[in-house]
Amino acid sequence: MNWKVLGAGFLVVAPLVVVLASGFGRDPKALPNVMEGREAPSFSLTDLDGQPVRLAELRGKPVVLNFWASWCTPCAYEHPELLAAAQRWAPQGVAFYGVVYGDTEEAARGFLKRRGSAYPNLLDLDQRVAIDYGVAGVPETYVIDRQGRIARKFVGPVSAKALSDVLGSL
Amino acid sequence: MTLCLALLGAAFAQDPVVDPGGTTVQGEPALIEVAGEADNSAGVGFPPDGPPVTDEATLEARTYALSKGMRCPVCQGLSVADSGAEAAVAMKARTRELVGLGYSDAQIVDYFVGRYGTWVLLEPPAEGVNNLIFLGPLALVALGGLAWWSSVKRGKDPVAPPAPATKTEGDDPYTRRVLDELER
Repeated sequence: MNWKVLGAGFLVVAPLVVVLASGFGRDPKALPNVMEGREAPSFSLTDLDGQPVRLAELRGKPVVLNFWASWCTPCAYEHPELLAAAQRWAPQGVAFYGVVYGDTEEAARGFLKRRGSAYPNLLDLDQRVAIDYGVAGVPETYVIDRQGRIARKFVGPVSAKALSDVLGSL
Repeated sequence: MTLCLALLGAAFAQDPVVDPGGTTVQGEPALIEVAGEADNSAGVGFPPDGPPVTDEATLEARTYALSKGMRCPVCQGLSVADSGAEAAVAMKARTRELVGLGYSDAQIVDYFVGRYGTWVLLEPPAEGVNNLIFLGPLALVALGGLAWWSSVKRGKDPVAPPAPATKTEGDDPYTRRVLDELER
C-alpha cells in the first residue's frame, strides 16, 4: 500500500466531496433572504378602488404585504389562508394589503371576485415596488412591524398559522 | 421631488406606457403632477450620488452595462439585459430610472444586492468564501509548480523507473525464453 499516493488522493478528493456536498445540498433556485430586519422600502400605490395608499402613513401598526397575481396557482392556494388571517388580525389593528404583481387590472379583479377579498389590493403593474422589496416571484408575503421594519419574509404560499405566529410576536 | 419627476418624465418620454397621463415636451421637461405617485427614489432608501442624467445615449449605455451584470430572478441562467421576462424588463426599467435619477453604478449595484443578495450578480464578488474561486486555481498552479520543482531537485529524471528488468534479465528462465524469441 502506497500511503503517499493514498494521502495525496485523499487531499484531492476530500475538498471535492465538501464542495459537491454543500453545492448539491441546497436549492440553486432559492434566493438569499436579505430583506428581513431591514427597513421596509416606502411605497405609494393606488388600490383597485383608486384610493392612494402610502406605507409611511401606516407606521405604528403591523402591515402584511402579499404580492400575488391572478395567473399564479400557489397564490390561489394561499388566498383563503390570507383571508382567514386578515379576519383574525385586522380587528387587532394589522393592516393587510395585497399587491398585484405582473398582472392586468381586470384579471386581478376577476380573481378577487371569484375568490373573495377582505382587504385592499394595490396595483404595482410595472413591478417597481416588487423590485424595491426584492420580489423574485409570487407569492411572497412581507410582515412589517410597527417600526416599519420587515419582520418576516415568506417566499411561496403562506399559511394562516405561520402568519399568526409572526403577528402574535410583534 | 417635482424636479425629479419632471426629469424622469423626460427620460421616459419615448415610453408611452410609463408616462401616466403627464405631458412631456421634448427639450423642455414639463412638470408632471401625478396623483398618488410619489418620489421615485423613495423605495431606494438613500439619495443619489450625482445629478440626474437625461442624455439618452448615456442612459441606454449605462442601463445596458448594469443589467448585463445582473442575473434575472426568474430565468436564472440569463442576464437581466438578455432576458425578455417581465421581471427582467421591470428590473431594466428600474435600473434606467435610477440611472436617470443620478444614482452611480456602484449605488445601483448596492440597491439590487441589498434586495436580492450577491445572488443577483452574474460575477460573484471576490470576498469571503468566494475567494476560493479566484485564488483556488492560482494556489493549484503554485502547488503543482512546487511539486515539479521538488521532483526536479531530487533527481534528473525522477519519473523513469529504476529499470528492474535489467537486473532480472537472464536470471529467470521465462524471461530468457521471451528474449530469445524476440531476438530470433
